[in-house]
Amino acid sequence: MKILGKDVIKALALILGVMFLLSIGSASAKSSYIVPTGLKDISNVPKGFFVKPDGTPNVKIVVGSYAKAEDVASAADIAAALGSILYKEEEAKNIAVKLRKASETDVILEQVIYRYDYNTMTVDHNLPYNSGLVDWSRSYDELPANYWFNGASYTGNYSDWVGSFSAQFKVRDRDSVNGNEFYGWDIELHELSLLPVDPADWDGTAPPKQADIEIPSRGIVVSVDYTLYNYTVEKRDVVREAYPEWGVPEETAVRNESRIGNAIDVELDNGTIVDIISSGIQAGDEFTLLGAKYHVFSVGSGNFTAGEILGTDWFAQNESKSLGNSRWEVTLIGADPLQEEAIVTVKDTKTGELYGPVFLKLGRPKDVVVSGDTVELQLKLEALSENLVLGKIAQISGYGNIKTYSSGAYVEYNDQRWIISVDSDGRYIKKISMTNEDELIGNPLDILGIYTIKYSFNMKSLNERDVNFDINRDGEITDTSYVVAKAMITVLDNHPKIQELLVSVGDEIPGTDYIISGVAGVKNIVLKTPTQPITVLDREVDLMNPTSNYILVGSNRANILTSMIFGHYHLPVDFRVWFGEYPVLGYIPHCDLLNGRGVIIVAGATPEATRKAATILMQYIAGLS
Amino acid sequence: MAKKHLVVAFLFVALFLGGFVVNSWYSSYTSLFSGNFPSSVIIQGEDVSVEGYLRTDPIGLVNATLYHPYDRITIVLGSSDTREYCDSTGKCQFRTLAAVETSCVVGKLLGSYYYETAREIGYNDSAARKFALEQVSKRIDASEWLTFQLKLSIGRGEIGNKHHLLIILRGPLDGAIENRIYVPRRGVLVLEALDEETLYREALLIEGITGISCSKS
Repeated sequence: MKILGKDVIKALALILGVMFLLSIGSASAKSSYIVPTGLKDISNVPKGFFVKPDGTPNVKIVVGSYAKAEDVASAADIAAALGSILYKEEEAKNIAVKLRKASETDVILEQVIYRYDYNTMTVDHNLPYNSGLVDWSRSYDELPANYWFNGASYTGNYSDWVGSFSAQFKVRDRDSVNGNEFYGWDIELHELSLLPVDPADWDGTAPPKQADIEIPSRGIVVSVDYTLYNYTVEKRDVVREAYPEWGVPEETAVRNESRIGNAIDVELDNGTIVDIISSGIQAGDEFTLLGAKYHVFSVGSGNFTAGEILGTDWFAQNESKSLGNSRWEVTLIGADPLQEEAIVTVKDTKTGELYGPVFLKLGRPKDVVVSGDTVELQLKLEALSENLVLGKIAQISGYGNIKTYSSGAYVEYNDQRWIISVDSDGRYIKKISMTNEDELIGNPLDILGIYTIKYSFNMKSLNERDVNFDINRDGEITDTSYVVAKAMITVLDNHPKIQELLVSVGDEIPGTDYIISGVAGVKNIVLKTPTQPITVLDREVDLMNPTSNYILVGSNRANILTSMIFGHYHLPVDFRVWFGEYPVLGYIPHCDLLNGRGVIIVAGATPEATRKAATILMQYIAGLS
Repeated sequence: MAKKHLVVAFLFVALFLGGFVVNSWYSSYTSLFSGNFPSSVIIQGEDVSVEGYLRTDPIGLVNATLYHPYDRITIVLGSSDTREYCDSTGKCQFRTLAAVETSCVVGKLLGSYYYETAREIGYNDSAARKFALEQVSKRIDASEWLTFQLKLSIGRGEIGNKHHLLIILRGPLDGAIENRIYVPRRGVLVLEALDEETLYREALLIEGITGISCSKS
């Protein structure tokens, strides 16, 4: 008894000691993990932290830049748990499993531009059946010049075709504003001509055997309309199936589905506009144009001032690296968290020229390289922190090429120059159109990475003797071959188009031994298509404009953001000393470092402890209702 | 004496047979990655091909592979070489991103399936979601690094069959030879990439192919 008593006292003393050690936080009795002082227990996390009422995620998993193997496993485990609750339930009558099937490149437009055959001779050219076919061409050199498509029939010559050609395409979701809304493009192709590979081989009559396609300067116009609409699309649901034996007809109900998009989207969806959400891009907005990201500083009448967004990155002391994919290499010479400033030098990797040292004050943009009216590089110190592994670190963002764009200014795409035309009223940029300054040549010819245009020529011959038929209707069957010819322009969509294939339970998938199975009577689940990954790198979290709540995986050694938050809340820096082998879990409902967004920290001194913390979090998510 | 010889001979044969079996399992594991597949399409603009073991549309095959209700799902995060690299350099962020996106997608696939099952038997929305999450936590193992034993289980077909889906992330240190997403046999999906960032892109492509995503839309 006595011995036992001693042990109990020892154990109590040990527990007290441990509790004292842990008095910086509180050890949960149920599952042993530590909540750092000042942070809340995860039992306070509401379901809305993870998922919005419509089933879309309200959280991103922040992956540490110094993730170790167990951190990978922890993050993946949490993700599987999260995935299992991220969907929207919707009523659906039929049991169906949604499958998608992608086809190869899609043909958008196929135009036969030259056609010489029996059909065009007798119909388009109205040649009399008996006498008109006598002069049927026997070789390429004899092909006539007037079988080009003139927009209506195959009776034109080459220049008639060139003059008549035009094509218009509407493409969905090419550019975005503030990363959210997507704007379709209107592409007009006014002019197209052929450039024979061997000009000596071509006299301009029949189509060249091989040729490049040439779009002359200003032959193509791409326009983006930034007026954003709220519009509805009619959807028809079956509310009652037909029972033909009883004469009961099918009953359907019309439902209006709300969508957001610009005029192109409305047109492609055959929608009805409800109201205008936004009249255009305003100062402070970020938008993409031909894939490059711009930040708008101000909007004038017929012009706007913007800079390309180069990106934001963390720099350790004496670390040199390029800012985003730009040509600017930044080196952090020094950082002083107390003075809230950092010193950098900048190198232009294109010219080798060095700039600086430059003092950056926290939160204040600084023009580093200026030439004429253009600010070639502007840097801003976004944040400063101290990290155990790296020492002092600074987060620096930058804009490049800040200038005023008015109609006639150039933007670049793949080293091609495009002239822009701006429609703005001093408050909103309503529309931007672009036309190519440089001529575009090639076969196949790539257009803005979206379309490929191809030219092809095809000639076949047939011998009268072989088929025992008088092809040219001259009254004799001789050993003569006659030719037919066809030239084509094809426009292909570069992105495989996803077609929806609905397969019911019990169906076999063609070519596989899979049979679609499911639970009888189940409903459909609406699964959305991706635009923003659920993951984000710690370096890429936008501290000023966070877009969701965050789950931070990994200790302050692995995760820069965890390190910053610990610094900000004056939490212990050395995990091993303070938390030992315990898993660490903390919840911050409104993190002022992240503009009031919620944060869950899943960490531990060792990756194994982080792993345990992840398991505990998963169990907690599982218990949410 | 003769008895002793017999025992030795028996042991020798047993060892030999055992070695033979293990070797055949191991080689059937390695053969998963070596094949040139009868069907292949290239995802334009991504420099990634999608391939399959059947002469059919490989994208359809990837969908068929993922859209099948499995009892269990295992995601292999990488080989021990990558694991060691992660631990020694801490430069594992893209592998993490790839693993998170992939496991979230399969979590959602399986979760939706069990959610519907639960709704069917009368659970309300939140109880059904809880049920789905419990099932997913039990059935999905998203935290496996390759071990010799795991390789044998895969080679033997114990993992990676019509009841147990296997997804393997295969990066430059794991022996990747191409940027491709492929189904080498029934119940196995491999994301293979020559660099870690492409592996992450492939994980996002899976979301495009299946139309399932954990992301905002």
